[in-house]
Amino acid sequence: MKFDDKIPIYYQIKQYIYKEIIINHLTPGSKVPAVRQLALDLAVNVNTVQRSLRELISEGVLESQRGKGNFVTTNPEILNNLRKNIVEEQLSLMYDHLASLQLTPDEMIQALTEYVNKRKETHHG
Amino acid sequence: MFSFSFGVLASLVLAVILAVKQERVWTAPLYRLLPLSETKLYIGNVLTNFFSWIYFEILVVLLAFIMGPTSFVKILQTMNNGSFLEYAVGAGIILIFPTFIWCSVSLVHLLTNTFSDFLPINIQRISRVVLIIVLVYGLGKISNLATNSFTMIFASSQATSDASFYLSFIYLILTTIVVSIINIYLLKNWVQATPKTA
Amino acid sequence: MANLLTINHLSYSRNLQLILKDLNLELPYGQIVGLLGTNGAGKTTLMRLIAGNYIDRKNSISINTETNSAVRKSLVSFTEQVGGWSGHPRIFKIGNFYDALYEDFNLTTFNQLLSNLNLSPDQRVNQLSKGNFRKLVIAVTLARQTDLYLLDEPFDGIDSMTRKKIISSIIQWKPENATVLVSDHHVGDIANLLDQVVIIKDQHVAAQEAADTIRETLGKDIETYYEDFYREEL
Repeated sequence: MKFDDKIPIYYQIKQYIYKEIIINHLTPGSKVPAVRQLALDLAVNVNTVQRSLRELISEGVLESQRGKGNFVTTNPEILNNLRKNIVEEQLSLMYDHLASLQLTPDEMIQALTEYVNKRKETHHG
Repeated sequence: MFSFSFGVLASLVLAVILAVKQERVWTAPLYRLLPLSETKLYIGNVLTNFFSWIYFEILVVLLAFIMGPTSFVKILQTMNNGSFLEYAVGAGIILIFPTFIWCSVSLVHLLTNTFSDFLPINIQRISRVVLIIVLVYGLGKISNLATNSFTMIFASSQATSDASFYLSFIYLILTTIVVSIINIYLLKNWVQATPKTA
Repeated sequence: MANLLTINHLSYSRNLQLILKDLNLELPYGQIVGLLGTNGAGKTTLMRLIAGNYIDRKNSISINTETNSAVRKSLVSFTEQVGGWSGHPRIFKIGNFYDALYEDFNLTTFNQLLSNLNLSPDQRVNQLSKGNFRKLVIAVTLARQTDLYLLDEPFDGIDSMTRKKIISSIIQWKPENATVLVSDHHVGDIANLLDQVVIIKDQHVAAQEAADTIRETLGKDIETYYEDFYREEL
């Protein structure tokens, strides 16, 4: 995994785990790799991974079971919110960018619809 | 007889090799980083050399005996007119004398290092040579003075050759101990490792 | 928990040159800390003083509250303790050597490190490439189980694959409570690995900052943060 040097690593690891959950690489109820293993896989400090996992646990995305490890939550509400939040985050970024180009909300919707259709065509063609 | 002179020559070569080995330890990070007090490092290093020397001398004697048993016995017979104590002290001197020399070499080396740390880096080559000459001269003077006063105090009253023989043995041990105490002080407080310049 | 390393008003000069002046530093347990500074800033000298092959005459340095140099040496594993053997021993002989001399040296760990780093115990040290020698240095240093590891420029002049292997070894083998102080003049090599950075400039610690603070509060990457310290002068 490639990190952005200007963003705290623990934050990027959280984003990475969110994504793994959303695309079902980490399924609900499954076990997250051990801290040191994650640190090795991502080539980062163990403390950084610990901080990410701590925050994920306090958010309820992961559940810690004593002596067994950390597991992805099976709570559908949290999982749905997770998906919603991630998508919303991307949309808010796009909204801000387009707003800075002085697009009105209606123009944004129109532009997005056109763009999506264009991508669909190139994908099918 | 040939094996005897060969033994002497080999011993000399070994004495030089061991001297170099002993000096290397004082400034090698490999040894200076060991979790030991400077006293233990010093005693360990000096004793290692001492026992290497004894080991080698025993080998030399054994070898001399194996290579020419008859001439070996002959040599022993020609020196057959002293007491056991005399031979023991004689052997003691042969065994301890190299240690005395090594410790003295260490003293010069450690003092040179100590003073060099207070001299600019770009004159080190010259300053070291000058320091060694000055130190050898100075220490020679001091040891002369010490030897003279030692003999004045202890040997003047009954200057038989036997007594001065034993006294010189005691003197050798005492000097080695004094030099070692100074060396340990220098190691503890002043002499730092000189890492290889990468 | 008290600090692992405390340095109070450390000054050091040699050959009439002042190298460190009134340096203060505290390091906690269980972190990876980057020691940054230009060539000749005194990073190596600081490490040698901490490790004890340079003499800290005023007892300014304490590790685990110990100032005694023999005790300190038992608490520090320094890359400079590797090398200078007589002859050209094979790697396994070197393992035996350290196993005999250091109580905290773990031969099993050493062998695992060797295989992780693709080093063969039968190789002779004089036949190792520069990168492989660096790996051996890391293997010996990390095979000791101690509180403080000092890695002096472990990535100097080696390729990126070797660098990655060494980084994995650090992550894998650092005891949880131990702290690693690693010096580097290319911060980018290790930026992702660091809990905090210590910058040496003008003979003292010019800055000590957590990596997260640099990124989160200052919005900079570590490299820029470090370079800015030198740019301000120009």
